[in-house]
Amino acid sequence: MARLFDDAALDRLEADVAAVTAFGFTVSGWFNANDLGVTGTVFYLGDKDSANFHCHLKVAGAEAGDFLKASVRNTTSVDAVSSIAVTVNTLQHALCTITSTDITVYLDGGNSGTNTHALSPPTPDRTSIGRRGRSTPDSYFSGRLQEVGLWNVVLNAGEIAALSKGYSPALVRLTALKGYWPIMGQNSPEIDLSNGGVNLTVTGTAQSAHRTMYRPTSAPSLKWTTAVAAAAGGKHLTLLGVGR
Amino acid sequence: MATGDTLLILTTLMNEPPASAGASPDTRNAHAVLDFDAAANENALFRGILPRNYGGGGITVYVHYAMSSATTGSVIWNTAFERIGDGAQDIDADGFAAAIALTHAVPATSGNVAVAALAHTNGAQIDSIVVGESFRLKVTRDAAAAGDDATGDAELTAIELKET
Repeated sequence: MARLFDDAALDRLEADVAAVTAFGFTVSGWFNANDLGVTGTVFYLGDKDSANFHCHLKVAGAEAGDFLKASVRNTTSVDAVSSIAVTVNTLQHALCTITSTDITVYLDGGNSGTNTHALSPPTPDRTSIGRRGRSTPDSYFSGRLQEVGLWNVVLNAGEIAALSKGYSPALVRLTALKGYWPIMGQNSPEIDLSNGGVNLTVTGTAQSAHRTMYRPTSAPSLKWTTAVAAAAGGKHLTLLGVGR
Repeated sequence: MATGDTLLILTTLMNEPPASAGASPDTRNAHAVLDFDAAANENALFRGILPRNYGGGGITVYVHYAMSSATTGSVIWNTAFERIGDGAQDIDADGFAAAIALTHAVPATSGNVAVAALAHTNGAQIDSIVVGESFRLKVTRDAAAAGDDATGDAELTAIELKET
């Protein structure tokens, strides 16, 4: 199950911890925006005591074009904008990469937009999903969010494509995975399955349908059945513990 | 007597990707596949434990794959075992035995799955793994070799290990 966020109720997931602290990272997540009259945050990383100094992946519904945007904000703001609009009530994939010089956003594995910047990195102390968790929080998300991943590297094109096709973050560059929140809606706080350990406090939200993902699986056990069956002339292969 | 037994079935979702030059996870009509590039050698790594019904013979690795677009030419698959065992391998480093190579003609239809069989004899070619020991299997498309002339990605779908 995913979580359904109600912007009017100020729903969000949040922790006053920075899941990454330097430029050179990737954020991935699935969203289904049910109201493109508002701008909603998929992911925020920044200084909780400042209106500025943050990075932000959002559905810019309140702005012309209804694009997916990734922003770096210091005292000024630089945006990367998707080349096509977000579609209301449709599950879509959002991803952004942010380096010390470039910011790129991808909608559904492509439809990308890039911009350059020369901004100093923020000193983040808050990780938020569902709102821009700055000093005066805003940009609450309206709709479903799930399967958010954060890597402290810029993923390559193949990895970005895999994520947009439904591969779990747990199957992509595990050594650099610093935040992975499946957002199944069954735990509070929402558990970080990466080694980052940034569990997110849940405020509001309701359980909602979750996209089926390609997940790591374990090896099936192969077991020959009893000697009685073998003696009867048949060798029966039983699969035990086959998991997705 | 275990000749002919299936020892392990490995799916693409079991891949433990290497730090670099890894095959890319992809989908094809909702089949989870691993894409092996045509221009550079790429690898996938799988972990297993040699099951108790293994009788000490060779192991044939069946590589199930389709081509993303090619309908002619060949791919070269390499498979190599690394015995981890009980005190046999420091996992801070790799210790794969020499790979076995097979040049395999691709299917005439790009979506059809072909099966390439790479036969390893017992002993050194399986890094002397014994029953109950853990090991890794490395699968590589030797794209840099001249004989690998099929264009586009090779899409690994599954692997079977059978005692020869």
